This record gives sequence, C-alpha cells and structure tokens, in this order.
Amino acid sequence: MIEVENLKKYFSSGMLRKRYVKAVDDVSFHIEKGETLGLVGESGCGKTTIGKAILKLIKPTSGRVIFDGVDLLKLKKKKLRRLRPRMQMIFQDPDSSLDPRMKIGDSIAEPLKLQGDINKGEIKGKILELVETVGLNPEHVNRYPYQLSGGQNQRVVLARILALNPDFIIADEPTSSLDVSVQAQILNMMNDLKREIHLTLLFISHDLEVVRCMSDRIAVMYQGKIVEIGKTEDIFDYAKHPYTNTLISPTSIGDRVILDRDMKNASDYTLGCVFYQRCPFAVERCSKKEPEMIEIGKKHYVLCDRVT
Amino acid sequence: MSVLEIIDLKTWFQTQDGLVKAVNSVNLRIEKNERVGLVGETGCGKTVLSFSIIRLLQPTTMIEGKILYKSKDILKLSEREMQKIRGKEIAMILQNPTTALNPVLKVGDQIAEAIWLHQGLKKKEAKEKAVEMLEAVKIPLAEKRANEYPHQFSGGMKERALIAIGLACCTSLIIADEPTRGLDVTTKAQIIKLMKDMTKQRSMLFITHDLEVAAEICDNIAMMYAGELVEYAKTDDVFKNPLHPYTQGIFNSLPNRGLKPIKGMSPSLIDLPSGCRFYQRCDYAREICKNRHPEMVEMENGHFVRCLLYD
Amino acid sequence: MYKYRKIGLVIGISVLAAFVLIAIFSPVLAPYDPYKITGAPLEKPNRNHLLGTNNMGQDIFSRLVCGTRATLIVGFGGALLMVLIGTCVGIISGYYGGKIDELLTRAVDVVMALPMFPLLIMLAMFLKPSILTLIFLMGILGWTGCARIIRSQVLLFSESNFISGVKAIGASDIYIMVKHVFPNILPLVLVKFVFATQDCMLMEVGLGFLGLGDPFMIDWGQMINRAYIKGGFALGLWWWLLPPGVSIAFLSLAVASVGHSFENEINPRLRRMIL
Repeated sequence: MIEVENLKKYFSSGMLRKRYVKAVDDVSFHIEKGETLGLVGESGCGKTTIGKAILKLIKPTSGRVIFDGVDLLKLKKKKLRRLRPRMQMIFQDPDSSLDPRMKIGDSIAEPLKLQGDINKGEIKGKILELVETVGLNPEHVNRYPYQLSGGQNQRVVLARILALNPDFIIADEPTSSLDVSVQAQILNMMNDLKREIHLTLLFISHDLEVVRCMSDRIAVMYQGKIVEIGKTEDIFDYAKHPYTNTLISPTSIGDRVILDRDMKNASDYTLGCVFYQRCPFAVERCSKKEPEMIEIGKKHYVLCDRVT
Repeated sequence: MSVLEIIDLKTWFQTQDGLVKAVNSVNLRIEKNERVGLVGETGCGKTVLSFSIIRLLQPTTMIEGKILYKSKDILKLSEREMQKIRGKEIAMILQNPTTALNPVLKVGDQIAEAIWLHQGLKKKEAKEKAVEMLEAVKIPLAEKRANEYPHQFSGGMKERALIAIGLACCTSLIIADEPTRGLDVTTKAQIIKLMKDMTKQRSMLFITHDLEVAAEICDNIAMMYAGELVEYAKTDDVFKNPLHPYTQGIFNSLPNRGLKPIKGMSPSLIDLPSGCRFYQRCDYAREICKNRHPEMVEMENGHFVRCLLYD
Repeated sequence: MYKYRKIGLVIGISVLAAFVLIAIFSPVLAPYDPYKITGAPLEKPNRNHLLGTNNMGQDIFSRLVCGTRATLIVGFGGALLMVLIGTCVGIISGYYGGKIDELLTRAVDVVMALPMFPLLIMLAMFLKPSILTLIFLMGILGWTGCARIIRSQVLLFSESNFISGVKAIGASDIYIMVKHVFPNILPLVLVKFVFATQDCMLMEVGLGFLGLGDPFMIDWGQMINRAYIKGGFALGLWWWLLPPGVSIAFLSLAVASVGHSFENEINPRLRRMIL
C-alpha cells in the first residue's frame, strides 16, 4: 500500500556555515493494505517529520514515497492535490486541528464540499451520519471547537477525515493530550473503524503501551533513524536493540545513560551508531562504524552491530 | 501534628459562562513526611485546589472552609504573611517546564534567587547553594550548567531545575503540579525516581492525572472527580482494591489493563448533577444514585469512598 | 474595567456615527451655501450665523459641516487601501514563507524606511491634488505596518495543524488563504483599519493645513490654514479657528476609542486561538 524508501529530511540552519539537523535519516519501511504500523520514539526523534514528509506537507530532502504505485514526491502539484484526500493525517493537538472560526458542522462538511458534486441535502445527511459514527451528538454540529473538550474535538477531526473515505491515515499522537478514560474511548473507536473500513494506519506515539494496543507491527525510532522494526509481539518479547529495551522498561536504565544525552541534535557526529552515546553496551567499534539493518527473525530487523 | 489539613474547602469562581464550582467540600489531611497523590482528569479542579492552598487565585474567587497549615488558617493570613510562607514553607513545583523558568535569567541565578529571598544568605553563598541543588537533582557538570540559560537545557533538565528551585529551601510542604506531564517515557522514569528520592523525608501533595506515576511516588492517593474527592486510601489499597466505580474505570482505561473506556464525559463544573456526580457514566448506577448525593464513608481502615454502593 | 471599555466603545461609535451622518446630509444640514458670501466679514457667532463668518463673509458653520466629507472620505478610503494592500501582502508573505516571504519582507522594509509624511507632502505638491490622489498616496505609502503585523500573525498559525489538515484534504492555496487564513485574522484587520482611519484623517487635515488638499473641496485643514494666514490667530478670532480644530480632535478621539475597544475585545480571543 505504502512504501517509504530512503526518506531523508535535513533541516539547515545558519547563513554562511550551513549546519544540518538530520530529522529523518535514511528511513525505509512499508505498510501493507489494512495493516497498522506503530512508530515509537521520544520527542524530537523525527517521528512527526516522517508523517508530514510522507504526505508531502513538508518537502523531504530525498527519498521516495510510493503510495498505491505512484511516487508522491515526483508528482505535480495538481495531481498531488487530487490524490491527497486518499491519505489523511490526525494531529497531536486536537484543539488546534480545527479552524477556530468554523462551526463543527462546517468543518466536517468542508471536505465533502471540496470534493464537489454533492448537494446540500446530501451533505446534511452525511454530516449527521459521520457525527454519529464518531460518537458525537447532532447538537454539537452548531458549536465551535473551543466549546468542546479535547476528546470531542479529536472526534470531530476523525469525522472530517472519514468524510473523505481515505485509504491511508497517519495518526500522530492522537491521544497524548487526552485523559486516560478519553484516550481509551478514542483508541477503541479507531480500532473499530479499522476493522470496519479496512484502514491502513501509521500510528505515531511516544507511548509504547498505546502503540501496542493499536499496531500489527512496530517501528522504533531514535534520532532520525529506525533502530528496530518487527511484529508487535516480537518487539515486546524479543526486543534486541538496547534502545527498544529502555523503552519497554524505562526504570531499568541507569542515570548515566539518560543524562549523558547532552548532544541536542544529530549534527554533532558523523560516524558511528546513533545510540552510541547512551548505549550501555557500546564498544569502541560502535563509535567508528555505522551499523546496518540486520534481519534477526521473520520481518524483524535491528539496526545494531552487536546483535548476532 | 499534620502539616496540612483542608477542612470542607469550597473554591468557586465566576466566569462568563457561569459559576464554576471547582472545589466542593474537600477534606484532606497531609501528615508530616507523608506524600499524598491527588489524581484526577483534566478539569476536575485539582489545580484550583492546589492554587487555593498557596492562595494564587484571582481575588474575586470565593473560598470557603479552612486550610490549616501547621494549625494556622492560611485563608485568614494577610498577603504579606502569605508571601513569607510561599516558597519558604510551602513550595510549588509547577507544570510545563518550558514556561515556568524565566528565559532571560541563568538557571543557577533563578535557583539562587529562591534561596536568598527566604534564607538571608549572601548572594555568593546562595549561588553556591544553587550549584549544590543542581548536583542534588543530578544535573551533570552542575557548576557549568548553573551559568547556562533555560533554552540550553533539555525538557527533562528544565524539570530537574524546577524541582531544584522547589526544594532549595527547607520547606515543610511541597506541592507538585504534574511535574511529569509532557515528558518522554525514559525522562519521565528518571524524574519519578528523582522526585521519590528527593522527597523521602518531606510532606508533599503530588498532583497528577496519571495513577501509575502517583503510585510510584505517593503513600496515599486521593481520587478527585468533578470537584470532589471520591476515594482516598493507601496507594496499595487503591491498586489492589479500588472501590469507587470511577477509580475502577480509570484502571480499566489504561492501555495495559484492557483499554476499556468509561462511557460519556465528565460533567461541567458549572452544571453539576444533583445526585451522584458519576451517575451518568457509572455501570452500577441505580435509581437512588440519581437524586442522592453520596457522602464519604470509611470502608476499611483508612480507605474512604464516596459511593452509594457501599452505603 | 470591562464596563468602562463598553462605554468607550458606545461613545466612540455614536460620535463617529454622528459625523458620518453629518457628512452624508451636509447639503441639507448646512444653512447656507458654504461658498457664497452670506454675511459681513468676521461676524461673531449670532442668530443668523451660528459660528459666525470668516474674512470673506462665508458662513463658518456651513463650511464646517461640508468639510466633514473630505476628512471622512480620505480617512476611510486611505485606510481601506492601506489595509487591503497590507493584508494581501501579509497573508501571502506569511502563508507561503520562503523566497516569496523574503522578497515581500524586503519590500516592506524599503517602503517602511521612506519618511511617510514628508514624502506625502512632496508627492501631493507634484501631483494634481485631489481626494483620489490623496487616498492613493496614503494607501501605497502606509500599508507596511499592517503587512508586518498580519504576516507575523499568519506565520504563527500557518504552521498550525488545521492548516495542514485542510491542505491534506486537497484544498488549493488560494482556497486556504481566503477561507481559513483571512477569517482568522479578520479581527486584527479590523483593528488595523480603525487605527489607519485615524492616521489618514489626521494626515488629510495636516495636508489641508499646508494647502495641499483638494482645492475643489472644503476641508478642515484648509479652514485652519485660511484662518492662520489671514491673521485669525493674531486677532484672536476664536470662532474662525476653533471649530475645525475641535471637530478633528473629537473625530480622531472617537475613532481611537473605537479602535482601543476593538483591540481589547479581540486580544483575548486572538490569544486563545494561538494557544
């Protein structure tokens, strides 16, 4: 369904001496139709950048994103616009994901209107149908986003996206700003929708437990690179990368490991493993040679030289 | 003697949309060297409760009841007397590390400021103490770091610095308002460990929405829902035997405990239901719950619950 | 505080509305033809001439009423053009960012560096002075402040999720700018418009005083100028001098008070939006 190959996004700063921050560095993965891939990592590891780069909401530095056989990055603006409704993104902060000056109903209707050839009566019916699908009341239609709670706004975002009948959705921390009880409601609803309409999903989160509930496979990201990718069970039961292990049991990791993380961006080093400075198992050669992805099980890959 | 005793506290304030009844008849006691976790969801009134204690609310806010700090009623103190208590006796660790530090002052100076405001030390001594505090919260190269600005600190380090400010004076009560919010898993684990170590011989009110975080740090847990406490017990008791349907619901909502949500949403603090406030969302609700507002009752030794099921 | 703002707004709007009505109905309201000599020169205010007459024996009250038009037209017209250009530049600059933004920001800097009033005086001297020329000149010289503020506002939320969301639906850039960006900065545009109106009114009177107004229209600046040149100051002929001066002061205050009320009303909402 979707294939990402060697995707890179570098941000440059400085006028004369350009410095680059590798937000996404040579990332490749694919998602099958109807499958959910979870993308886990800490803040600033580049997971949101990946999401936006796939949809071309920001321009990647290089690489290929193939959606349904079409390379998105080579597409002309007009053609891309026609393809966009099929791929959607849910953002982290639901309150800023809606136009504050548009009523809920208008926000949901907007994608329908943009698609054209649909009359007013049909739109009205469709809005009510969508509002019900995401568990809102019809009376919410005439309200503004600031009158609703975060959880309700996230439902509106979902309704708006479902109006387009997308094939592929990127959910970027859709529940991280919500309370646990609301989070459970939203995640359950997404799981139901996934089953009903065979959605393909890229689920981005910093919370491994949440990702576990949602995903068929999980990719773990660190400093712009995917360090481990595999089936959900494999990641939890047979995690091989030291970083994945720290995520699974964060309390087990010593003080040194966290606090040595003084480097703020990835531009400070060029050689060696990205996790070298924090890795409790690092040896000399880890700082010299960049590790390569190794297949260690069925569909289970690790970016570490010391795993054999 | 208890360090803090809140008796029948009501905090209400007027907004454009109506009267917000944020805190309603809350009774809570914190003993010396006890750490109490106040757990509740967004908009349940937990932050208003903490601001009532250090009196940082708008002057128009209506506060009723008593807040006894070492047997003195805080609500009756003058603003002058209150300033002496804030920071020196009761310290507050705020949420959101990015905005709680002044961006144009060196981190070390900000900690030193808190120290010399209350301890009558010379500036140089205060600065030395500040470096000590940074070491205590395990910031590497503390001496160098003290001369850096907040933007040079990562999120976790800023939170550490805030904790250092909060703990810099030998306070008798710490109020921590969601110090782990918005932090990454690994950073969060570190901050929890730090908070736990640093507050061993201290009294603390720890406010959070995250039951698991509260469990790591606190001796007792108070569950807050729609402006009132609904359950209060030792941490172990809450985890092993949650009594209130809301507490049970929160547990079941956790991703690693089944992801079973509570239906509906919290009532607005402006328009509170007359009977049990959890009535509409409760799986065990009966007719009587609709009209009768339950009182807090003690079930076992020190395990309180506000629910008609146990009446 | 809140009540006080409301009072300011009500007074401001009433005064402004009164002036607008006077301007519209000036031919009816003026008791005499302002150009005709209807009395003796320099008559003191009396029953026939409410505010007396000037050195040529023209009725000052009639001239005052008819002069309202020029000030209001130039004030609103100039402000409209300023805000129109400023908003377009600001939105385009902030929304697209990158090279377009850099280019437009430079343009803003250049125009901003020009000293506006002296340049206005020079240009007004060279070009045939008329109301339209004045509006045009004010518009193309005065849009920069508005453009800057709008740009920063647009920058703030063009990164925000809902804009990305609309893009992802497949909306065109123009659609997004018109349908989503513009409505969100509209309150700010309104505030800018009100303050620009005040500036333009004052400039119009200033130019009129320097004798650079539209010679075919009566305006307050020109009235003061006449009184000044013909010795009104020296002779202490207050009824000749004061009325236009007091009028512009009142009008300007009214507009300013409307502007401040708007600003206060809108600011918390803008802040909430950004948060």
